[in-house]
Amino acid sequence: MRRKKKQAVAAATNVELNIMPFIDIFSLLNTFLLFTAAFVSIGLLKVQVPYLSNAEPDKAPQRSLEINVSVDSTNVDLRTRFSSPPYQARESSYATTPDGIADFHQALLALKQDNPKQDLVTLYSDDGVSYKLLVVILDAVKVDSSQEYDETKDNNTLFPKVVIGSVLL
Amino acid sequence: MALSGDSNEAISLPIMPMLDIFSILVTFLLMSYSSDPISHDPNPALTLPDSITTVSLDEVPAVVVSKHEILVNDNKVLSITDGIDDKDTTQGAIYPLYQELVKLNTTNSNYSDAQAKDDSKVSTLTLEMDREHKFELMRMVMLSAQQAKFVTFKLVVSKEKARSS
Repeated sequence: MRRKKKQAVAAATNVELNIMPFIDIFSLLNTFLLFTAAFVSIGLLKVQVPYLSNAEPDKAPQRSLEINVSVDSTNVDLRTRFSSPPYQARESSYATTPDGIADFHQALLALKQDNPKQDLVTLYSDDGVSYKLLVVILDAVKVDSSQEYDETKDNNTLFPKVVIGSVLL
Repeated sequence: MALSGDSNEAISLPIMPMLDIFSILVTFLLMSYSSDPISHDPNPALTLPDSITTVSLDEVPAVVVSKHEILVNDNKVLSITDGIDDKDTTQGAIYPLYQELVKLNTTNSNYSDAQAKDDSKVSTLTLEMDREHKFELMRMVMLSAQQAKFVTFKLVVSKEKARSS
Protein backbone atom coordinates (compact mmCIF):
# COMPACT_ATOMS: atom_id res chain seq x y z
CA MET A 1 0.00 0.00 0.00
CA ARG A 2 2.76 2.37 1.05
CA ARG A 3 4.80 1.40 -2.04
CA LYS A 4 1.84 2.21 -4.30
CA LYS A 5 1.49 5.61 -2.65
CA LYS A 6 5.18 6.34 -3.20
CA GLN A 7 4.86 5.38 -6.88
CA ALA A 8 1.85 7.68 -7.28
CA VAL A 9 3.68 10.61 -5.69
CA ALA A 10 6.72 10.00 -7.93
CA ALA A 11 4.49 9.86 -11.00
CA ALA A 12 2.74 13.07 -9.97
CA THR A 13 5.99 14.97 -9.71
CA ASN A 14 6.93 13.94 -13.30
CA VAL A 15 3.68 15.18 -14.87
CA GLU A 16 4.24 17.43 -17.90
CA LEU A 17 1.55 19.37 -19.65
CA ASN A 18 1.34 18.30 -23.29
CA ILE A 19 1.32 21.63 -25.09
CA MET A 20 1.86 20.32 -28.61
CA PRO A 21 -1.89 20.31 -29.52
CA PHE A 22 -2.05 23.85 -28.15
CA ILE A 23 0.83 24.91 -30.42
CA ASP A 24 -0.81 23.15 -33.37
CA ILE A 25 -4.03 25.10 -32.86
CA PHE A 26 -2.13 28.37 -32.51
CA SER A 27 -0.18 27.67 -35.71
CA LEU A 28 -3.34 26.93 -37.68
CA LEU A 29 -5.14 29.96 -36.24
CA ASN A 30 -2.17 32.19 -37.06
CA THR A 31 -1.98 30.89 -40.63
CA PHE A 32 -5.72 31.36 -41.16
CA LEU A 33 -5.72 34.88 -39.71
CA LEU A 34 -2.66 35.96 -41.68
CA PHE A 35 -4.16 34.71 -44.95
CA THR A 36 -7.58 36.27 -44.39
CA ALA A 37 -6.48 39.53 -42.77
CA ALA A 38 -7.45 42.66 -44.68
CA PHE A 39 -4.81 45.23 -43.91
CA VAL A 40 -6.41 47.89 -46.13
CA SER A 41 -9.81 48.98 -44.91
CA ILE A 42 -12.04 49.92 -47.81
CA GLY A 43 -14.84 52.46 -47.66
CA LEU A 44 -17.43 54.02 -49.93
CA LEU A 45 -18.52 57.50 -50.93
CA LYS A 46 -21.95 57.62 -52.52
CA VAL A 47 -22.60 60.22 -55.22
CA GLN A 48 -25.21 60.72 -57.91
CA VAL A 49 -25.32 62.11 -61.40
CA PRO A 50 -28.27 64.11 -62.73
CA TYR A 51 -30.88 62.22 -64.73
CA LEU A 52 -34.24 62.86 -66.26
CA SER A 53 -37.14 61.48 -64.30
CA ASN A 54 -40.80 61.25 -65.26
CA ALA A 55 -41.84 61.69 -61.62
CA GLU A 56 -44.32 64.49 -61.01
CA PRO A 57 -42.76 67.73 -59.74
CA ASP A 58 -43.75 69.10 -56.34
CA LYS A 59 -47.00 71.06 -56.61
CA ALA A 60 -45.96 73.60 -54.02
CA PRO A 61 -42.15 73.66 -53.92
CA GLN A 62 -40.85 75.04 -50.65
CA ARG A 63 -38.22 77.71 -50.40
CA SER A 64 -34.97 75.82 -50.00
CA LEU A 65 -31.27 76.56 -50.02
CA GLU A 66 -29.29 75.57 -53.10
CA ILE A 67 -25.66 74.77 -52.38
CA ASN A 68 -23.24 74.60 -55.31
CA VAL A 69 -19.57 73.70 -54.99
CA SER A 70 -17.19 74.30 -57.90
CA VAL A 71 -13.74 72.74 -57.82
CA ASP A 72 -10.66 73.40 -59.90
CA SER A 73 -7.06 72.43 -59.20
CA THR A 74 -6.36 75.43 -56.98
CA ASN A 75 -9.71 76.66 -55.62
CA VAL A 76 -13.02 75.49 -54.20
CA ASP A 77 -15.90 77.92 -54.65
CA LEU A 78 -18.97 77.70 -52.44
CA ARG A 79 -22.12 79.38 -53.76
CA THR A 80 -25.44 79.43 -51.94
CA ARG A 81 -28.79 80.97 -52.80
CA PHE A 82 -32.39 80.32 -51.92
CA SER A 83 -34.74 78.90 -54.54
CA SER A 84 -37.17 81.83 -54.24
CA PRO A 85 -36.87 85.51 -53.26
CA PRO A 86 -35.18 86.84 -51.25
CA TYR A 87 -32.34 84.81 -52.81
CA GLN A 88 -29.62 85.91 -50.38
CA ALA A 89 -26.92 84.69 -52.78
CA ARG A 90 -23.49 84.25 -51.22
CA GLU A 91 -20.16 83.18 -52.62
CA SER A 92 -16.86 82.31 -51.02
CA SER A 93 -13.64 80.82 -52.30
CA TYR A 94 -11.09 78.56 -50.60
CA ALA A 95 -7.71 77.21 -51.62
CA THR A 96 -7.32 73.46 -52.17
CA THR A 97 -4.66 73.32 -49.45
CA PRO A 98 -5.37 71.43 -46.19
CA ASP A 99 -6.03 74.74 -44.41
CA GLY A 100 -8.29 75.99 -47.20
CA ILE A 101 -10.29 72.77 -47.21
CA ALA A 102 -10.60 72.92 -43.42
CA ASP A 103 -12.06 76.46 -43.78
CA PHE A 104 -14.38 75.22 -46.52
CA HIS A 105 -15.57 72.41 -44.22
CA GLN A 106 -16.18 74.91 -41.41
CA ALA A 107 -18.29 77.03 -43.80
CA LEU A 108 -20.33 73.94 -44.67
CA LEU A 109 -20.77 73.11 -40.98
CA ALA A 110 -22.11 76.63 -40.39
CA LEU A 111 -24.49 76.23 -43.36
CA LYS A 112 -25.77 72.94 -41.97
CA GLN A 113 -26.28 74.49 -38.56
CA ASP A 114 -28.41 77.26 -40.10
CA ASN A 115 -30.26 74.88 -42.46
CA PRO A 116 -30.44 71.50 -40.70
CA LYS A 117 -32.95 70.03 -43.18
CA GLN A 118 -30.75 70.74 -46.18
CA ASP A 119 -29.07 67.54 -47.37
CA LEU A 120 -28.19 68.15 -51.03
CA VAL A 121 -25.03 69.65 -52.53
CA THR A 122 -24.35 69.96 -56.25
CA LEU A 123 -20.69 69.58 -57.16
CA TYR A 124 -19.12 70.92 -60.34
CA SER A 125 -15.58 69.92 -61.15
CA ASP A 126 -13.01 71.07 -63.66
CA ASP A 127 -11.76 68.31 -66.01
CA GLY A 128 -8.19 68.72 -64.74
CA VAL A 129 -9.03 68.00 -61.09
CA SER A 130 -7.51 64.75 -59.82
CA TYR A 131 -9.73 62.06 -58.36
CA LYS A 132 -7.64 62.26 -55.18
CA LEU A 133 -8.55 65.93 -54.67
CA LEU A 134 -12.18 65.27 -55.55
CA VAL A 135 -12.38 62.65 -52.78
CA VAL A 136 -10.93 65.16 -50.28
CA ILE A 137 -13.63 67.66 -51.31
CA LEU A 138 -16.31 64.95 -51.07
CA ASP A 139 -15.09 64.13 -47.55
CA ALA A 140 -15.37 67.79 -46.58
CA VAL A 141 -18.94 67.88 -47.94
CA LYS A 142 -20.20 64.54 -46.68
CA VAL A 143 -18.44 63.74 -43.40
CA ASP A 144 -19.45 65.71 -40.32
CA SER A 145 -16.23 66.14 -38.35
CA SER A 146 -18.02 67.95 -35.51
CA GLN A 147 -19.73 64.74 -34.39
CA GLU A 148 -17.99 61.98 -32.53
CA TYR A 149 -18.25 58.87 -34.69
CA ASP A 150 -20.68 56.29 -33.36
CA GLU A 151 -21.01 53.26 -35.60
CA THR A 152 -24.46 52.45 -34.17
CA LYS A 153 -25.84 55.78 -35.41
CA ASP A 154 -25.80 57.41 -38.82
CA ASN A 155 -24.87 60.76 -37.33
CA ASN A 156 -21.64 61.56 -39.12
CA THR A 157 -23.02 62.73 -42.44
CA LEU A 158 -23.09 66.44 -43.17
CA PHE A 159 -24.66 66.59 -46.63
CA PRO A 160 -25.40 62.97 -47.59
CA LYS A 161 -26.67 63.70 -51.11
CA VAL A 162 -23.99 64.89 -53.51
CA VAL A 163 -24.87 65.31 -57.18
CA ILE A 164 -21.96 65.61 -59.61
CA GLY A 165 -23.52 68.26 -61.83
CA SER A 166 -20.66 68.58 -64.29
CA VAL A 167 -21.13 65.05 -65.64
CA LEU A 168 -23.89 66.32 -67.91
CA LEU A 169 -23.09 70.01 -68.17
CA MET B 1 13.53 16.08 -27.43
CA ALA B 2 17.09 15.21 -28.28
CA LEU B 3 19.55 13.06 -26.43
CA SER B 4 23.15 14.07 -26.14
CA GLY B 5 25.56 11.38 -27.30
CA ASP B 6 27.61 10.89 -24.15
CA SER B 7 25.54 11.55 -21.09
CA ASN B 8 22.03 10.51 -22.25
CA GLU B 9 20.92 13.79 -20.71
CA ALA B 10 17.61 15.11 -21.99
CA ILE B 11 17.77 18.53 -23.66
CA SER B 12 14.50 20.37 -24.02
CA LEU B 13 13.82 23.17 -26.47
CA PRO B 14 12.42 26.25 -24.70
CA ILE B 15 9.12 26.78 -26.45
CA MET B 16 7.63 29.30 -24.05
CA PRO B 17 9.03 32.36 -25.97
CA MET B 18 7.53 30.94 -29.15
CA LEU B 19 4.19 30.51 -27.40
CA ASP B 20 4.40 34.10 -26.17
CA ILE B 21 4.99 35.34 -29.72
CA PHE B 22 2.13 33.20 -31.04
CA SER B 23 -0.22 34.50 -28.35
CA ILE B 24 0.64 38.13 -29.10
CA LEU B 25 0.31 37.57 -32.86
CA VAL B 26 -3.07 35.84 -32.51
CA THR B 27 -4.33 38.58 -30.21
CA PHE B 28 -3.18 41.30 -32.65
CA LEU B 29 -4.72 39.54 -35.66
CA LEU B 30 -8.00 38.92 -33.88
CA MET B 31 -8.18 42.56 -32.75
CA SER B 32 -7.42 43.91 -36.23
CA TYR B 33 -9.65 41.39 -37.97
CA SER B 34 -11.92 43.34 -40.28
CA SER B 35 -15.61 43.18 -39.50
CA ASP B 36 -16.55 44.72 -42.84
CA PRO B 37 -19.36 42.85 -44.58
CA ILE B 38 -17.23 42.27 -47.70
CA SER B 39 -13.55 41.57 -47.95
CA HIS B 40 -12.13 42.86 -51.21
CA ASP B 41 -8.58 43.26 -52.42
CA PRO B 42 -8.21 46.36 -54.60
CA ASN B 43 -6.81 45.89 -58.10
CA PRO B 44 -2.99 45.85 -57.75
CA ALA B 45 -2.65 48.19 -60.76
CA LEU B 46 -4.24 51.12 -58.95
CA THR B 47 -3.96 53.16 -55.78
CA LEU B 48 -7.17 54.11 -54.02
CA PRO B 49 -7.66 57.66 -52.76
CA ASP B 50 -7.71 58.14 -48.97
CA SER B 51 -10.99 59.12 -47.36
CA ILE B 52 -12.32 59.66 -43.85
CA THR B 53 -15.65 58.08 -44.74
CA THR B 54 -17.09 55.64 -42.23
CA VAL B 55 -19.23 53.78 -44.75
CA SER B 56 -17.92 50.28 -45.44
CA LEU B 57 -17.77 48.47 -48.74
CA ASP B 58 -20.97 46.47 -49.27
CA GLU B 59 -20.46 45.02 -52.73
CA VAL B 60 -17.56 44.13 -54.98
CA PRO B 61 -16.76 46.91 -57.49
CA ALA B 62 -18.23 46.28 -60.94
CA VAL B 63 -16.16 48.85 -62.80
CA VAL B 64 -12.43 49.16 -62.17
CA VAL B 65 -10.42 51.97 -63.77
CA SER B 66 -6.80 51.07 -63.18
CA LYS B 67 -3.78 53.06 -64.38
CA HIS B 68 -3.85 51.39 -67.80
CA GLU B 69 -7.26 49.84 -68.46
CA ILE B 70 -10.96 49.82 -67.75
CA LEU B 71 -12.48 46.56 -66.52
CA VAL B 72 -16.09 45.52 -66.01
CA ASN B 73 -16.47 42.53 -63.69
CA ASP B 74 -12.75 41.76 -64.19
CA ASN B 75 -13.08 41.67 -67.99
CA LYS B 76 -10.95 44.19 -69.85
CA VAL B 77 -13.07 46.62 -71.83
CA LEU B 78 -10.57 49.20 -72.96
CA SER B 79 -6.90 50.12 -72.68
CA ILE B 80 -6.32 53.70 -71.55
CA THR B 81 -2.53 53.68 -71.57
CA ASP B 82 -2.44 56.19 -74.45
CA GLY B 83 -5.66 57.94 -73.51
CA ILE B 84 -9.05 57.20 -75.03
CA ASP B 85 -9.28 57.06 -78.79
CA ASP B 86 -11.93 59.25 -80.44
CA LYS B 87 -13.39 56.19 -82.18
CA ASP B 88 -14.26 54.75 -78.73
CA THR B 89 -16.25 57.79 -77.65
CA THR B 90 -19.81 58.75 -78.46
CA GLN B 91 -21.43 61.92 -77.12
CA GLY B 92 -18.79 62.19 -74.40
CA ALA B 93 -19.26 58.58 -73.25
CA ILE B 94 -16.97 55.58 -73.71
CA TYR B 95 -18.91 53.36 -76.10
CA PRO B 96 -17.37 49.91 -75.27
CA LEU B 97 -17.92 50.64 -71.56
CA TYR B 98 -21.50 51.75 -72.25
CA GLN B 99 -22.18 48.47 -74.10
CA GLU B 100 -20.81 46.38 -71.22
CA LEU B 101 -22.80 48.36 -68.66
CA VAL B 102 -26.02 47.92 -70.62
CA LYS B 103 -25.39 44.15 -70.53
CA LEU B 104 -24.65 44.36 -66.80
CA ASN B 105 -27.81 46.35 -66.09
CA THR B 106 -29.88 43.88 -68.11
CA THR B 107 -28.39 40.98 -66.15
CA ASN B 108 -29.04 42.77 -62.86
CA SER B 109 -32.61 43.57 -63.89
CA ASN B 110 -33.29 39.91 -64.60
CA TYR B 111 -32.61 39.19 -60.92
CA SER B 112 -34.87 41.97 -59.73
CA ASP B 113 -38.59 41.75 -60.38
CA ALA B 114 -39.15 45.38 -59.49
CA GLN B 115 -36.62 46.55 -62.05
CA ALA B 116 -37.90 44.17 -64.69
CA LYS B 117 -41.40 45.65 -64.34
CA ASP B 118 -40.25 49.24 -64.43
CA ASP B 119 -37.86 49.89 -67.28
CA SER B 120 -37.20 53.46 -66.14
CA LYS B 121 -35.75 52.27 -62.81
CA VAL B 122 -32.16 53.37 -62.26
CA SER B 123 -29.34 51.40 -60.70
CA THR B 124 -26.26 51.79 -58.54
CA LEU B 125 -22.72 51.12 -59.72
CA THR B 126 -19.64 50.55 -57.58
CA LEU B 127 -16.60 52.22 -59.10
CA GLU B 128 -12.96 51.58 -58.18
CA MET B 129 -10.58 54.07 -59.72
CA ASP B 130 -6.92 55.04 -59.49
CA ARG B 131 -6.45 58.23 -57.48
CA GLU B 132 -4.20 59.90 -60.07
CA HIS B 133 -6.83 59.91 -62.81
CA LYS B 134 -8.37 63.24 -63.76
CA PHE B 135 -12.04 64.13 -63.48
CA GLU B 136 -12.22 64.17 -67.30
CA LEU B 137 -11.94 60.36 -67.35
CA MET B 138 -14.25 59.98 -64.36
CA ARG B 139 -16.85 62.14 -66.14
CA MET B 140 -16.66 59.95 -69.24
CA VAL B 141 -17.06 56.78 -67.15
CA MET B 142 -20.00 58.28 -65.25
CA LEU B 143 -21.63 59.51 -68.43
CA SER B 144 -21.31 56.02 -69.98
CA ALA B 145 -22.89 54.55 -66.86
CA GLN B 146 -25.60 57.21 -66.77
CA GLN B 147 -26.59 56.36 -70.33
CA ALA B 148 -26.79 52.71 -69.24
CA LYS B 149 -29.18 53.82 -66.43
CA PHE B 150 -26.70 53.79 -63.55
CA VAL B 151 -27.12 57.11 -61.78
CA THR B 152 -25.91 56.38 -58.27
CA PHE B 153 -22.23 55.64 -57.80
CA LYS B 154 -20.39 54.13 -54.87
CA LEU B 155 -16.80 55.34 -55.10
CA VAL B 156 -14.38 52.88 -53.55
CA VAL B 157 -11.85 54.58 -51.28
CA SER B 158 -9.22 53.62 -48.76
CA LYS B 159 -10.42 54.41 -45.26
CA GLU B 160 -8.18 56.48 -43.07
CA LYS B 161 -8.72 58.11 -39.70
CA ALA B 162 -10.05 61.68 -39.60
CA ARG B 163 -7.48 64.22 -40.75
CA SER B 164 -5.97 66.27 -37.97
CA SER B 165 -6.69 69.52 -39.79
